[in-house]
Formats: sequence, structure tokens, C-alpha cells
Amino acid sequence: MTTHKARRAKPEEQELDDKRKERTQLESELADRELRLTSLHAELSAFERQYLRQVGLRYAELDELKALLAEKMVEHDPGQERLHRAAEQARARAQESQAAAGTEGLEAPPSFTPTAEIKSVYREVARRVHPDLTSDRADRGKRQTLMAAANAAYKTGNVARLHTLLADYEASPEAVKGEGAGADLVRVIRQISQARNRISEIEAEIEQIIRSDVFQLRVRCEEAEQAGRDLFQEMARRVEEQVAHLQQRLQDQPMEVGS
Amino acid sequence: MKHTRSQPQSGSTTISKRASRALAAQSAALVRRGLRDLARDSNWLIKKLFTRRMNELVISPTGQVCATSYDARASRARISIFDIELSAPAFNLDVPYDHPPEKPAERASFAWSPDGRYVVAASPDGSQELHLLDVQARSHVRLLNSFEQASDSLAWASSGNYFAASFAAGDFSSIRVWRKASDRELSLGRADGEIAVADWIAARPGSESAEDAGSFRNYGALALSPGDEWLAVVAEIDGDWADDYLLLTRLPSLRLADIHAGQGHITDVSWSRDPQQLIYCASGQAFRLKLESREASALPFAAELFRCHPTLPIAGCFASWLKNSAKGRLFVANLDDGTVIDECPAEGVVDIRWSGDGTKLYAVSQDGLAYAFEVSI
Repeated sequence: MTTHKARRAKPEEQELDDKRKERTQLESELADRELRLTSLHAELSAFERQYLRQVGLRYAELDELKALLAEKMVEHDPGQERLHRAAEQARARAQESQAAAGTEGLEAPPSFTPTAEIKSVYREVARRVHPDLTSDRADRGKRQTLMAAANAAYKTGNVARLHTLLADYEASPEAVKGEGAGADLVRVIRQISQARNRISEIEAEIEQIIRSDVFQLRVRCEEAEQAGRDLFQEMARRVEEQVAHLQQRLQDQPMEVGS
Repeated sequence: MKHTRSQPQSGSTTISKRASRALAAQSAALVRRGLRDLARDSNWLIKKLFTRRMNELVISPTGQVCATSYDARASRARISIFDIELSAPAFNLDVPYDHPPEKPAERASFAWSPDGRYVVAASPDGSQELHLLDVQARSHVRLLNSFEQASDSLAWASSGNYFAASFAAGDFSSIRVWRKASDRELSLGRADGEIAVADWIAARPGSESAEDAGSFRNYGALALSPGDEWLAVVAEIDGDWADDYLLLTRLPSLRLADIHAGQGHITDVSWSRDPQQLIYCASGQAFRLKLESREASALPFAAELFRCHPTLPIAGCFASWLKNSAKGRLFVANLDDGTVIDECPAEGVVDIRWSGDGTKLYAVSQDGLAYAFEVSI
């Protein structure tokens, strides 16, 4: 019978082991944060499209009517420089509102409701291929491309694409590691540092997002929803009332001027 | 004649396609417009300040919110300041604790100076240090003192002349008060007044023995009266059905003047503009206590948090439960006729405060929602 003497780990191997455990924790944390950030972007984007379709389009219609009214007033009283300026401004605003809301209103926006499966796969992809989890420059470039593709797949709900991305990366030579404890230790320490920096960046980005107008509007919508109200519907109704009022004025305008 | 956008009009120009960034800016303008129109329809401005859940939040008279946060990278607690009025990024202040915690704090206490410039911080969990921070200069001023017990509740008088703190140590808990020399910064050396549990426990009303009224748990809310005459202190009693006590003490000695038994657990205390009246919330109901008669009467409001306006007979209140709905609300009430002036649905509100000039009411929830109500007089 052969007996094996248990080899005592060298200090750098022990340190490497500890750092790897720390990196594993950070990988998981980073993947969670990336998932949260990407979800937030996608949710807000879908929310904004919904808003533009339900409310923004009505603002565009309101601004168009305001521009028409201003232009009609110029037609009836062309000598007034002030009316010309007002009409130009109204037209410019109408164009801006139309550009922002017009194209969005043509099709119903898909709402962003990621399934548990796609969340789980995205999280795994982020954990495995996140560019801040490698210290190799070439590998980092590849991971950046993969991560961008993963973000796009997540936002469009393409779970099959996420699986493919993950499988492709796992089979790539960059996924194979190992050059000795010393080099590995340096690499892992750098990866930990990069991951921490990225977590801080994500936190700052999320803080910025929650101060954005679109996020604040979503908060108002959620509050209203909890109280059984549909805020978009209420907002749209108010703008429609203004639209109806302006349409009436446009109808009455020639008579007013002619009388 | 009805006009539609498809009808070409003289003088109108064709809509041109813009770069996606310009489109994003324009759609942002439409979102901003919607928010602005919403604000016109409501007297309550609602904002999201942060996404994490925080319990210990204290609002300043200028609409800033103080909280304890944790810097995971540096493994240290710090104070975060959020601004309800400005859409400015939050900033963090590092506090040089002698024994920094190794995990995020669950409890913290803060007290803002009446001008909103300074904050005294007793955080995080179990810290025995009180630190003074200059929020305007974004700096730590100094360690005010290190005590033998941890501090639970802090209060700064609206005049700025007094500062009070409670210290938790079971039956050896105490309340201390310091008077500020007019020409100096706040200093917490030897206290000007102190009251110990033993000083009032025997004087409790309606109890033959200590067991009758349950056992003392801790000190709760502190409130210094306008005019610097009184300090009201909540003494919390253990037990689901126990009544907390409201201790009325004279400033600066903290000589006990009266003990009032609340109807249940007292969650908040606020002095009215008339320092002879005190409002407290017990078991979700607001009560008015008149100092002259020492009699309490129920107000027609369910409330757990209550802040009297500094000069008007109105108050900002929060109730987490409403009859028939189980929904929470923030509301502004008229204390003279008992009517609700304005209200807004809200959940999980942990602090309410009037601005220094009394023109705005601020509130903040543990989920990071901030509310601002503008008073129209």
C-alpha cells in the first residue's frame, strides 16, 4: 500500500485559493448588478416607448394643432411680426414632438417582461464572460463583444442566442487558464480589482438612472397603479381635452376673424 | 373644418429625420413635459431618491435626507446625503469611527441643526460615538463625544440652543441634554440635565408595582418644545398591549414635571406652535395633550407620524393603514377644524419634516420615495 503525504499548500497557493473564492463571490455579485442594470435599461426603454405611444403622440398632435392655429393667425394678420415669430416657434416645437413621438406611435411597443429562464441564462453569461473578469487584453476584447451581444439578446428576449453565446465562449481557447500560481495570483487580483471598479460604475449608473425623468415618471405610474389608476390614460385624456379645445378653436377661427 | 396632421398647410415644413441622439433628447423632453403637467395636477411632488431599502432616514429643514450606507470596497460605514429638491447626485461623508462596523448598519440616529447645515450622527449599530458633520462643507467636523452607552434618539431644538440624546442601557438608560453657548459650536461635554430611569419609574401613574405597567424597554422619540421650555420623551414599555409613557421634563434641568400614559405604543411626538399643546401618536391614532389640564383627547386622524407646522395650525401626518382600505397615506391636516387639507397615497414613510420657512412638507419612505408638498397660503 502506498501512502501519500498530503502536500502543504505554498503561501502563494493559499493566497490564490482565497483570492479565487473572493473572485467567485464578486463574479456572482457583478452578474447580479449587470442583470439589474440591463433590466433597468430595457424596462425603462419599453416604458418610454409605451409613454410616447399613449401620451407623447397626443402631445405631438396638440403641438401640431397649436402650430396650425398660429399659422392661421399669421394668414389672417400677416403684418404682425410677433405672430410670425410665434408661428415659427410653434412649428419647430410641433416638428420636435412629432419626431420624438411620431415613429414610436406606429406600432405597439413590446413590453419588457423577462422570463426567469432568460434572467438566469443572462446572469450565467455575465458571470462567465464579463470583460471585467479577465486581465488578458485579447480576451477582454472578445468578452466585450460577447457581452454587447448578450445585452442585445437579453433585451429582445432571445434566450437561444444567449445559450449559443455561452456555449461558443466555453469552447474557445480563451476559456482555458493556468500558468502557475504566481502569475495566476496577479491575474486574479487584477480581475478582482476590475470587477470592483465595474460594480462601482454600475452603482453610479443606476443612481443616475433613478434620477432621470423617465424613471421618476415610472414611479408615478406604479404609485397610481397601486391605487387602481392608469396614469397614462389619465394623462392622455387631459391632453385629448386640450386637443379637442384647439380643434374647436381652429374651426371657429375663420368666423372669428371674418366677423 | 377639422385639421389633421396629414393636411399640408401653407408655411409648414416637412418633418425631417434626426439623429437618434437628438430623438432621445426630444423624447426626454416629452417625458419631462408629462411630469411637469402631472405636477400641475397634484400638490405632491414625488421623487425616487435611492433604490436600496433604508430604515434610518432623517430629513433636514432644507429637504436633504441623511442615511447610513456601507462602502463595500472599503469595508466601512459612511453617511449618505440625498437631496429631495435638487436632482443632484447623492454624496457620501466618511466618518472616522474608532470601531468601524464590519457590516452594513441596521440602526442609526441623526439630528439636523435647525439651519440644515450640520448633522449629528450616532451610527452605526451600537456606536458610542457622536460625530458632528458639516453637510454644506461636505466634511466631518469632529467627534463630539464618546459615551459609555450607545445613543438611540437624538433631537436638536428648533432654536438651536439645546441638544438632547437618549442612551440605551436597560434600566440604566438615560436622557441627557446640553445647552449650546450662543457663540460656540455644539459641544457635548458635561450635560446640563440628565434623567435616569429610576427618576421616573416609581412615579408612573396607576401602577401599584413595577409589574403592573410592564417593564421598561427603551427611550423612543424626543421632542424639544418651541421656546425651549420642555423636553418630551417617550418611554417604551415591553408587551404588545402595554401603554408607553410620555415624560414631560423641564429644560434645562430635565426635572420631571409629569408622566402621561399613552393609549398603546407611542410612535411619534410633536409640539404644536403653541408650546402648551403636544400631539402624540399611539397605536396609530393621533392625540392632543394639553399641558394646562394634562388631559389628552383623540384627534380625528389615524396617524403614526405627526409633524406640527412651525407657525400655522396645520400638521403633516402619515398613516400606514386607512379604514376599509389598508392603504397608507400622507396628509396635511387642519388642527383647528380637524379636516384633511390634502393627501397622497404613500407606504413605508419613516420621516416627515417641515422646511425651515414652513413652505414645504417633506417625507421619505424606506423604499427611497421622497414626497414634497407645497403649502399654498
